[in-house]
Amino acid sequence: MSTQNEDFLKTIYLHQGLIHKICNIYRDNKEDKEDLFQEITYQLWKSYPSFKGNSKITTWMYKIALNTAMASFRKMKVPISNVKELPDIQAEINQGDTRTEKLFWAIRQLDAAEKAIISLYLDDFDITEIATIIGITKNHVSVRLNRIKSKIKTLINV
Amino acid sequence: MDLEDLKSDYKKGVVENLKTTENLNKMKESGNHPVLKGIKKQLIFESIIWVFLLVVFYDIFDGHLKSIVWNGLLIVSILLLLFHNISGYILVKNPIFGENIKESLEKYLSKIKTFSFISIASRVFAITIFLGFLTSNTTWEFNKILLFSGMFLLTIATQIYFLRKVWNKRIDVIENTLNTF
Repeated sequence: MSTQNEDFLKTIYLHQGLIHKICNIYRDNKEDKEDLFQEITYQLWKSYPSFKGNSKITTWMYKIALNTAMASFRKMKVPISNVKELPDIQAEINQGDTRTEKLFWAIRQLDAAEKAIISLYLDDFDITEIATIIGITKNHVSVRLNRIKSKIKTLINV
Repeated sequence: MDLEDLKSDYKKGVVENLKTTENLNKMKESGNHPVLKGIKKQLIFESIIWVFLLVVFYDIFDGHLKSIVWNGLLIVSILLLLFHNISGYILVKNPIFGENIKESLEKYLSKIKTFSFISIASRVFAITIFLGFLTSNTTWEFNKILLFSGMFLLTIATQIYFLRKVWNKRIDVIENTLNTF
């Protein structure tokens, strides 16, 4: 195994929580989350040689992961009504049992850009970093962030 | 509950299935990519058909009785379909282009729009050439012209309808995402 391969695997293993969070936010069911995890890992590996260490590793990972989550096409599925699905749907309606699950449920209700902004904010990225990663102005980030915070508070307290 | 308090909850995350380095090593290969795997299978299947057609068309469709121009055009149209298949795979494989997420999605959308036009145009071109090749030695009468025109238009319309449906769905996904910025 090459040094680059080993470094990459160590880095992704260490920061895989970040990918799990993006998958949890952008996909609803287990299978889609697994598929997205794989797609993100694949895109990270492809971009790894171009990562020169000029930014934090998590900044680079977030940029690729969010981009992949928003640009990837899901597998075509035939919509079926299946009794086995009922418990999952019920769990979703109940918004999860723990505070963390409730937070992720609330974030899933936001639109694609809002999800990206709040995930970066909750992971301690500042306004300037968020604006640079997303590609909008700092002012726009601040305005959106205030709206998102209100939305989340409303959703969580329902 | 203050949103600041939720930062620690977010950082904990909800990890359902922690990956080992072995899992991650497999996941980074394109052969295991969930969407690419499906597209690859479809493209290989289609490409085999086009290559087969390229190899046998001269004997099966009496290529020796057709003009060299029609033979040449048919080869070009099949090669175009093969090229189109490969470039479509490359496009889906590489969705990241920009310095930031918004720029990347805008560039990707523009590439998908261009590719969808090329996709439809190359299919229409190939069908037109194929039908032209098959009928190039036909002695045309009014009834034959009517029948052929009907068949031609129906085939083209069906192809355009289904291809546009597929591409519009993909374009809508990216456009809707960009509209949220």
